[in-house]
Amino acid sequence: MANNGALAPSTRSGRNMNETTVTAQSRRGFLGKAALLGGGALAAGGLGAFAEAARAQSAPASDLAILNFALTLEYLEAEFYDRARQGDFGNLNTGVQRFAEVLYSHEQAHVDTLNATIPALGGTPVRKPALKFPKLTQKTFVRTSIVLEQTGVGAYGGAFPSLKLKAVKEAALAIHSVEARHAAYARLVAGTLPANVAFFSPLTKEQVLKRAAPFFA
Amino acid sequence: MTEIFVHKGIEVETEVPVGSLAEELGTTRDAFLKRAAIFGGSAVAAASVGMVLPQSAFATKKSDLAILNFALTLEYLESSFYAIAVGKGRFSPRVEQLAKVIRDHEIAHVKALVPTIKSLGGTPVKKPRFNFPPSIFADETTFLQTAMALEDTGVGAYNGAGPALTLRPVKEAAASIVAVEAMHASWVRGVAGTAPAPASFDELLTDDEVLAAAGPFFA
Repeated sequence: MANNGALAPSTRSGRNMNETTVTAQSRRGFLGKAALLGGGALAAGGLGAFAEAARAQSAPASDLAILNFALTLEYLEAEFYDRARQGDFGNLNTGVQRFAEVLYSHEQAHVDTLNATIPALGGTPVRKPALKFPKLTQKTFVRTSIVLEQTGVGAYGGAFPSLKLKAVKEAALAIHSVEARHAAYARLVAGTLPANVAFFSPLTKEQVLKRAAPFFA
Repeated sequence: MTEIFVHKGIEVETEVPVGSLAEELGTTRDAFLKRAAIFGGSAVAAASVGMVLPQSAFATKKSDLAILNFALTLEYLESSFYAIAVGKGRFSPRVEQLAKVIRDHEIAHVKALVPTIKSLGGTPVKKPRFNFPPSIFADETTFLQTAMALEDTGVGAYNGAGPALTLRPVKEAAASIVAVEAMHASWVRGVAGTAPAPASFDELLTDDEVLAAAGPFFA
């Protein structure tokens, strides 16, 4: 998935990644929630507007720094799942392979979006960092995934209150909750309670760095 | 492998005894504050403790309060829904566990939002009257589909409201709640056999979209 320079296409590719979405949406319609889905709220109200804003104004330096920090983490996550789906962590069963494929597509979509957004806001995207991963098995891959995803949730949650530009806030929120879905998905795959606290504590930048440090070469 | 987890010190303990979870979570304000303190989430605690706000915050407080009351309404809806489901006692252990744990989380959200609204000088909305058709609790599939719609709506509601929030502690509290709503959504979806994370980006819903989805449940 190359950097396509636009926000919506990445979104769509993420959506299409999972064919069960259609079923889920149909069921939702069955329950009378069709209004929710009309017009793909994300493309229309979220990242579409985000792209507009990105063209219209430059972001404060602090927003750009946060976006670049997020991009670094997304690079880490994307490569982690790319390696997993390609077999670097050994053979994965069907469910775990699907998990790796879905999360790879999402994280890569986040990378593509951030990479296109930062220059649109007048910034320079960080380069992809050199990464290293320990020797993992299916089981430890999933456990490491829990750590990475929870770190991602804490990172976006911790950064959100500092964001200034509305469009950047919207993008951060649209990603933040997907990272939370991933964290619960990973916990589900690991056979542990998917949501084990009523409030998920945000992380400071230092806490995030400490957790991610072992993966940077 | 172990060293990674030790090094980073993040919790990945997998065995959470469900029986003790409800107690651990706490559904009272005090327990919430205690937990917030445990988290080191001073922000979350501050949001509900009644922090001193500068006078200049008055105007922005009003919009934050409206959003918090909207959120409180949804949390009442969710907590009531799961409480009824648990009361029916007719689901498999796996679904029963889901209903109980999520019910406790939603109650904790209610118990956190009420004092937060008061601490900001607002008046918490009363618990609305709900109208849940018995059919949605009749079997696991329908229950899970309804739960899925509610949780996805909750995520979209918090996401949609987030950019308009002005007070830092309220933003922090909202972020700490929406993450959990997203975890619920993922969990329910997984148990229902559908994609836990169906898209790369979640939706940001307007108030009208949220009401269109949740409206049928209000009496």
